[in-house]
Amino acid sequence: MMRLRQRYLAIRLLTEESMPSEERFRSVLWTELQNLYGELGVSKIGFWVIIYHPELKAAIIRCQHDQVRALRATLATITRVGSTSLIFHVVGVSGTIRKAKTFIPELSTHREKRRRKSQ
Amino acid sequence: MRAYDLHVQEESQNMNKIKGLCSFANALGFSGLAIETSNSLPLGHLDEHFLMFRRITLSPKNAARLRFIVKKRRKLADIFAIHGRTKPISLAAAIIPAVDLVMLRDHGDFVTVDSQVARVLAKQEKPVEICLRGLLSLSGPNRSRLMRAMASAVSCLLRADCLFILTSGAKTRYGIRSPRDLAALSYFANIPEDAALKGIYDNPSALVERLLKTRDSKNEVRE
Repeated sequence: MMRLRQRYLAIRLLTEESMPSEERFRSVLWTELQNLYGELGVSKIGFWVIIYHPELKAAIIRCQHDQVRALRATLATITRVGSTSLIFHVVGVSGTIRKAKTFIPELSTHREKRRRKSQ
Repeated sequence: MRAYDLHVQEESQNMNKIKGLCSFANALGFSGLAIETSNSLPLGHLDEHFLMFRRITLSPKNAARLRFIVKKRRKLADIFAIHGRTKPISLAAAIIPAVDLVMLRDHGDFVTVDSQVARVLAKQEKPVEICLRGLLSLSGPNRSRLMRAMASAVSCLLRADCLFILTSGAKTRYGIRSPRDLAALSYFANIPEDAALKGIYDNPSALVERLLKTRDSKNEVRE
Protein backbone atom coordinates (compact mmCIF):
# COMPACT_ATOMS: atom_id res chain seq x y z
CA MET A 1 0.00 0.00 0.00
CA MET A 2 1.25 3.43 -0.91
CA ARG A 3 2.12 5.62 2.04
CA LEU A 4 -0.14 8.67 2.21
CA ARG A 5 1.59 11.97 2.64
CA GLN A 6 0.24 14.06 5.47
CA ARG A 7 0.42 17.58 6.76
CA TYR A 8 0.23 18.82 10.33
CA LEU A 9 -1.38 22.17 11.07
CA ALA A 10 -0.16 23.96 14.18
CA ILE A 11 -3.02 26.02 15.54
CA ARG A 12 -3.35 28.65 18.19
CA LEU A 13 -6.83 29.17 19.61
CA LEU A 14 -7.40 32.85 20.20
CA THR A 15 -9.95 33.46 22.91
CA GLU A 16 -10.36 35.30 26.17
CA GLU A 17 -12.99 32.89 27.46
CA SER A 18 -12.59 29.45 29.08
CA MET A 19 -11.43 26.73 26.71
CA PRO A 20 -13.79 23.92 25.65
CA SER A 21 -13.13 20.29 26.54
CA GLU A 22 -11.24 18.07 24.09
CA GLU A 23 -14.39 16.06 23.34
CA ARG A 24 -16.32 19.23 22.55
CA PHE A 25 -13.47 20.54 20.41
CA ARG A 26 -13.31 17.34 18.34
CA SER A 27 -17.06 17.10 17.90
CA VAL A 28 -17.39 20.72 16.71
CA LEU A 29 -14.63 20.19 14.13
CA TRP A 30 -16.21 16.94 12.93
CA THR A 31 -19.65 18.53 12.66
CA GLU A 32 -18.36 21.54 10.72
CA LEU A 33 -16.36 19.36 8.32
CA GLN A 34 -19.34 17.06 7.78
CA ASN A 35 -21.63 20.04 7.16
CA LEU A 36 -19.28 21.40 4.52
CA TYR A 37 -17.93 18.30 2.79
CA GLY A 38 -20.07 15.35 3.87
CA GLU A 39 -18.71 12.02 5.15
CA LEU A 40 -16.96 11.22 1.88
CA GLY A 41 -15.25 14.60 1.87
CA VAL A 42 -14.11 14.21 5.48
CA SER A 43 -12.63 10.81 4.67
CA LYS A 44 -10.66 12.38 1.80
CA ILE A 45 -9.42 15.15 4.07
CA GLY A 46 -8.14 12.55 6.56
CA PHE A 47 -8.69 14.89 9.49
CA TRP A 48 -7.44 13.92 12.96
CA VAL A 49 -6.72 15.86 16.15
CA ILE A 50 -3.19 14.89 17.21
CA ILE A 51 -2.68 17.26 20.12
CA TYR A 52 -5.16 19.49 21.90
CA HIS A 53 -3.85 21.54 24.76
CA PRO A 54 -6.50 23.74 26.43
CA GLU A 55 -4.02 25.26 28.91
CA LEU A 56 -1.69 26.43 26.17
CA LYS A 57 -4.62 27.17 23.83
CA ALA A 58 -2.94 25.19 21.08
CA ALA A 59 -3.63 22.19 18.89
CA ILE A 60 -2.03 20.13 16.14
CA ILE A 61 -4.34 18.71 13.50
CA ARG A 62 -3.48 16.23 10.76
CA CYS A 63 -4.82 16.08 7.19
CA GLN A 64 -3.85 14.77 3.76
CA HIS A 65 -1.16 16.86 2.06
CA ASP A 66 -3.46 17.95 -0.81
CA GLN A 67 -6.34 18.90 1.50
CA VAL A 68 -4.65 21.59 3.57
CA ARG A 69 -6.60 24.44 1.98
CA ALA A 70 -9.92 22.67 2.51
CA LEU A 71 -9.19 22.06 6.20
CA ARG A 72 -7.81 25.54 6.69
CA ALA A 73 -10.92 27.04 5.11
CA THR A 74 -13.13 25.00 7.43
CA LEU A 75 -11.17 26.12 10.49
CA ALA A 76 -11.58 29.73 9.36
CA THR A 77 -15.37 29.39 9.30
CA ILE A 78 -15.59 28.34 12.96
CA THR A 79 -16.36 31.22 15.27
CA ARG A 80 -17.68 29.32 18.30
CA VAL A 81 -16.96 26.05 20.06
CA GLY A 82 -19.84 25.46 22.46
CA SER A 83 -20.31 28.71 24.30
CA THR A 84 -16.75 29.89 23.67
CA SER A 85 -16.08 32.46 20.95
CA LEU A 86 -12.70 31.75 19.41
CA ILE A 87 -10.51 32.03 16.35
CA PHE A 88 -8.47 29.21 14.87
CA HIS A 89 -5.20 30.84 13.90
CA VAL A 90 -3.05 28.49 11.82
CA VAL A 91 0.53 29.43 12.71
CA GLY A 92 2.23 26.86 10.49
CA VAL A 93 1.90 23.79 8.32
CA SER A 94 4.50 21.05 8.28
CA GLY A 95 5.12 17.48 7.17
CA THR A 96 6.11 16.15 10.60
CA ILE A 97 4.70 16.50 14.10
CA ARG A 98 8.12 17.46 15.43
CA LYS A 99 8.38 20.40 13.03
CA ALA A 100 4.76 21.39 13.71
CA LYS A 101 5.57 21.65 17.41
CA THR A 102 8.29 24.19 16.67
CA PHE A 103 5.58 26.62 15.51
CA ILE A 104 4.23 26.53 19.08
CA PRO A 105 7.36 26.49 21.26
CA GLU A 106 5.34 26.18 24.50
CA LEU A 107 4.22 22.70 23.47
CA SER A 108 7.70 21.19 23.57
CA THR A 109 8.78 23.09 26.70
CA HIS A 110 5.57 22.06 28.49
CA ARG A 111 6.24 18.41 27.65
CA GLU A 112 9.83 18.73 28.87
CA LYS A 113 8.60 20.17 32.18
CA ARG A 114 6.14 17.32 32.63
CA ARG A 115 8.84 14.75 31.89
CA ARG A 116 11.15 16.33 34.49
CA LYS A 117 8.36 16.36 37.06
CA SER A 118 7.62 12.67 36.57
CA GLN A 119 11.33 11.85 37.02
CA MET B 1 4.59 41.63 1.92
CA ARG B 2 1.96 43.77 3.59
CA ALA B 3 -1.59 42.63 4.13
CA TYR B 4 -4.55 44.91 4.69
CA ASP B 5 -8.10 44.20 5.72
CA LEU B 6 -9.98 47.07 4.13
CA HIS B 7 -13.36 46.37 5.71
CA VAL B 8 -13.83 46.13 9.47
CA GLN B 9 -16.81 47.59 11.30
CA GLU B 10 -16.65 49.10 14.76
CA GLU B 11 -19.84 50.66 16.04
CA SER B 12 -18.34 51.74 19.32
CA GLN B 13 -17.40 55.40 19.93
CA ASN B 14 -14.67 54.24 22.30
CA MET B 15 -11.18 54.83 20.86
CA ASN B 16 -9.66 52.19 23.17
CA LYS B 17 -11.87 49.56 21.56
CA ILE B 18 -10.66 50.61 18.12
CA LYS B 19 -7.08 50.53 19.40
CA GLY B 20 -7.64 47.01 20.76
CA LEU B 21 -9.08 45.86 17.47
CA CYS B 22 -6.07 47.26 15.61
CA SER B 23 -3.50 45.65 17.89
CA PHE B 24 -5.35 42.34 17.54
CA ALA B 25 -5.27 42.64 13.73
CA ASN B 26 -1.59 43.58 13.92
CA ALA B 27 -0.87 40.43 15.96
CA LEU B 28 -2.63 38.36 13.30
CA GLY B 29 -0.31 39.77 10.62
CA PHE B 30 -2.13 42.74 9.13
CA SER B 31 -0.31 46.00 8.40
CA GLY B 32 -3.46 48.08 8.32
CA LEU B 33 -7.22 48.22 8.63
CA ALA B 34 -9.96 50.26 7.05
CA ILE B 35 -12.54 50.85 9.75
CA GLU B 36 -16.14 51.78 9.30
CA THR B 37 -16.96 53.72 12.42
CA SER B 38 -19.22 56.50 13.57
CA ASN B 39 -16.33 57.92 15.59
CA SER B 40 -15.20 61.23 14.13
CA LEU B 41 -11.72 61.29 15.71
CA PRO B 42 -8.76 61.07 13.31
CA LEU B 43 -7.75 57.42 13.02
CA GLY B 44 -4.42 57.82 11.27
CA HIS B 45 -2.60 59.00 14.42
CA LEU B 46 -3.17 56.04 16.71
CA ASP B 47 -0.07 54.11 15.69
CA GLU B 48 2.82 54.95 13.39
CA HIS B 49 3.50 51.39 12.26
CA PHE B 50 -0.06 50.34 11.71
CA LEU B 51 -2.06 52.15 9.06
CA MET B 52 -5.67 52.96 9.73
CA PHE B 53 -8.17 54.29 7.29
CA ARG B 54 -11.67 55.59 7.72
CA ARG B 55 -14.08 53.91 5.40
CA ILE B 56 -17.60 54.63 4.26
CA THR B 57 -19.79 52.09 2.52
CA LEU B 58 -22.73 53.57 0.71
CA SER B 59 -25.78 51.50 -0.20
CA PRO B 60 -27.65 53.66 -2.72
CA LYS B 61 -31.19 52.73 -3.68
CA ASN B 62 -30.60 53.53 -7.33
CA ALA B 63 -27.79 54.64 -9.61
CA ALA B 64 -29.38 57.95 -10.67
CA ARG B 65 -28.13 60.16 -7.82
CA LEU B 66 -24.97 58.18 -7.12
CA ARG B 67 -22.52 60.74 -8.53
CA PHE B 68 -24.12 63.54 -6.48
CA ILE B 69 -24.06 61.54 -3.24
CA VAL B 70 -20.46 60.46 -3.77
CA LYS B 71 -19.38 64.06 -4.39
CA LYS B 72 -21.15 65.16 -1.21
CA ARG B 73 -19.69 62.54 1.10
CA ARG B 74 -16.32 61.67 -0.43
CA LYS B 75 -14.30 63.92 1.88
CA LEU B 76 -15.61 62.18 5.00
CA ALA B 77 -13.53 59.03 4.45
CA ASP B 78 -10.23 57.72 3.11
CA ILE B 79 -11.84 54.76 1.42
CA PHE B 80 -15.17 55.13 -0.26
CA ALA B 81 -16.98 51.94 -1.19
CA ILE B 82 -20.26 51.41 -2.96
CA HIS B 83 -22.40 48.40 -2.15
CA GLY B 84 -23.08 46.90 -5.59
CA ARG B 85 -26.63 45.74 -4.89
CA THR B 86 -27.82 45.98 -8.47
CA LYS B 87 -26.20 45.89 -11.88
CA PRO B 88 -26.81 49.62 -12.69
CA ILE B 89 -25.29 50.62 -9.34
CA SER B 90 -22.17 48.50 -9.95
CA LEU B 91 -21.82 49.92 -13.47
CA ALA B 92 -22.30 53.52 -12.28
CA ALA B 93 -19.83 53.01 -9.41
CA ALA B 94 -17.28 51.61 -11.84
CA ILE B 95 -17.25 54.82 -13.90
CA ILE B 96 -17.11 57.32 -11.01
CA PRO B 97 -13.40 57.99 -10.24
CA ALA B 98 -14.09 59.05 -6.62
CA VAL B 99 -15.31 55.55 -5.74
CA ASP B 100 -12.47 53.34 -4.50
CA LEU B 101 -14.23 50.00 -4.29
CA VAL B 102 -17.33 48.19 -5.40
CA MET B 103 -18.35 45.91 -2.56
CA LEU B 104 -20.07 42.55 -2.99
CA ARG B 105 -21.27 40.90 0.21
CA ASP B 106 -24.63 39.16 0.02
CA HIS B 107 -26.11 36.56 -2.27
CA GLY B 108 -28.10 39.26 -4.10
CA ASP B 109 -24.93 41.25 -4.85
CA PHE B 110 -23.03 38.33 -6.37
CA VAL B 111 -25.99 37.36 -8.53
CA THR B 112 -25.90 40.77 -10.26
CA VAL B 113 -22.31 40.28 -11.45
CA ASP B 114 -22.13 39.15 -15.05
CA SER B 115 -19.54 39.39 -17.79
CA GLN B 116 -20.65 42.92 -18.74
CA VAL B 117 -20.18 44.27 -15.20
CA ALA B 118 -16.87 42.42 -14.90
CA ARG B 119 -15.60 43.86 -18.19
CA VAL B 120 -16.52 47.44 -17.22
CA LEU B 121 -14.89 47.04 -13.80
CA ALA B 122 -11.75 45.62 -15.39
CA LYS B 123 -11.62 48.38 -18.02
CA GLN B 124 -11.94 51.11 -15.38
CA GLU B 125 -9.40 49.26 -13.17
CA LYS B 126 -11.86 49.50 -10.29
CA PRO B 127 -11.14 46.93 -7.58
CA VAL B 128 -14.02 44.72 -6.48
CA GLU B 129 -14.24 43.95 -2.80
CA ILE B 130 -15.38 40.44 -1.97
CA CYS B 131 -16.55 40.50 1.62
CA LEU B 132 -16.34 37.02 3.16
CA ARG B 133 -18.43 37.75 6.26
CA GLY B 134 -21.40 35.77 4.95
CA LEU B 135 -19.35 32.58 5.02
CA LEU B 136 -18.92 32.98 8.78
CA SER B 137 -22.34 34.27 9.70
CA LEU B 138 -24.55 32.04 7.55
CA SER B 139 -25.06 28.30 7.74
CA GLY B 140 -26.91 25.53 5.96
CA PRO B 141 -28.76 26.24 2.69
CA ASN B 142 -28.16 30.00 2.86
CA ARG B 143 -24.42 29.49 3.04
CA SER B 144 -24.35 27.02 0.17
CA ARG B 145 -26.48 29.44 -1.89
CA LEU B 146 -24.00 32.22 -1.14
CA MET B 147 -21.03 30.00 -2.08
CA ARG B 148 -22.62 29.15 -5.41
CA ALA B 149 -23.37 32.80 -6.25
CA MET B 150 -19.85 33.78 -5.14
CA ALA B 151 -18.26 31.12 -7.34
CA SER B 152 -20.20 32.18 -10.42
CA ALA B 153 -19.41 35.90 -9.85
CA VAL B 154 -15.74 35.12 -9.22
CA SER B 155 -15.47 33.12 -12.45
CA CYS B 156 -16.80 36.19 -14.37
CA LEU B 157 -14.39 38.51 -12.56
CA LEU B 158 -11.40 36.24 -13.14
CA ARG B 159 -12.23 35.80 -16.82
CA ALA B 160 -12.36 39.59 -17.27
CA ASP B 161 -9.06 39.91 -15.38
CA CYS B 162 -10.67 42.11 -12.76
CA LEU B 163 -8.81 43.35 -9.69
CA PHE B 164 -10.35 42.10 -6.47
CA ILE B 165 -9.77 42.53 -2.80
CA LEU B 166 -10.75 40.07 -0.08
CA THR B 167 -12.03 41.47 3.19
CA SER B 168 -13.44 40.01 6.39
CA GLY B 169 -16.16 42.61 6.99
CA ALA B 170 -15.77 41.76 10.67
CA LYS B 171 -18.07 43.33 13.22
CA THR B 172 -16.19 41.96 16.24
CA ARG B 173 -12.62 40.82 16.82
CA TYR B 174 -13.77 37.21 16.49
CA GLY B 175 -14.72 37.95 12.88
CA ILE B 176 -11.19 38.92 11.89
CA ARG B 177 -9.06 36.19 10.29
CA SER B 178 -5.32 36.20 9.66
CA PRO B 179 -4.32 37.03 6.04
CA ARG B 180 -3.54 33.41 5.19
CA ASP B 181 -6.74 32.13 6.80
CA LEU B 182 -8.74 34.74 4.89
CA ALA B 183 -7.12 33.51 1.69
CA ALA B 184 -8.01 29.94 2.70
CA LEU B 185 -11.62 30.99 3.30
CA SER B 186 -11.84 32.06 -0.33
CA TYR B 187 -11.62 28.34 -1.20
CA PHE B 188 -15.41 28.29 -0.76
CA ALA B 189 -15.78 31.00 -3.40
CA ASN B 190 -13.72 28.92 -5.82
CA ILE B 191 -10.93 31.49 -5.92
CA PRO B 192 -7.55 30.00 -6.87
CA GLU B 193 -4.93 30.30 -4.15
CA ASP B 194 -2.60 32.64 -6.05
CA ALA B 195 -5.48 34.99 -6.93
CA ALA B 196 -6.64 34.91 -3.30
CA LEU B 197 -3.17 35.86 -2.06
CA LYS B 198 -3.10 38.72 -4.57
CA GLY B 199 -6.47 39.84 -3.21
CA ILE B 200 -5.04 39.97 0.32
CA TYR B 201 -1.53 41.30 -0.27
CA ASP B 202 -0.89 42.91 -3.68
CA ASN B 203 -4.15 44.58 -4.67
CA PRO B 204 -4.93 46.19 -1.26
CA SER B 205 -1.29 47.35 -1.01
CA ALA B 206 -1.58 49.09 -4.40
CA LEU B 207 -4.80 50.80 -3.28
CA VAL B 208 -3.25 51.85 0.03
CA GLU B 209 -0.19 53.27 -1.74
CA ARG B 210 -2.47 55.30 -3.98
CA LEU B 211 -4.42 56.55 -0.95
CA LEU B 212 -1.26 57.54 0.88
CA LYS B 213 -0.02 59.44 -2.17
CA THR B 214 -3.25 61.41 -2.47
CA ARG B 215 -3.25 62.03 1.30
CA ASP B 216 0.33 63.38 1.12
CA SER B 217 -0.40 65.58 -1.89
CA LYS B 218 -3.46 67.02 -0.09
CA ASN B 219 -1.32 67.82 2.97
CA GLU B 220 1.26 69.55 0.75
CA VAL B 221 -1.43 71.72 -0.79
CA ARG B 222 -2.70 72.68 2.70
CA GLU B 223 0.82 73.63 3.84
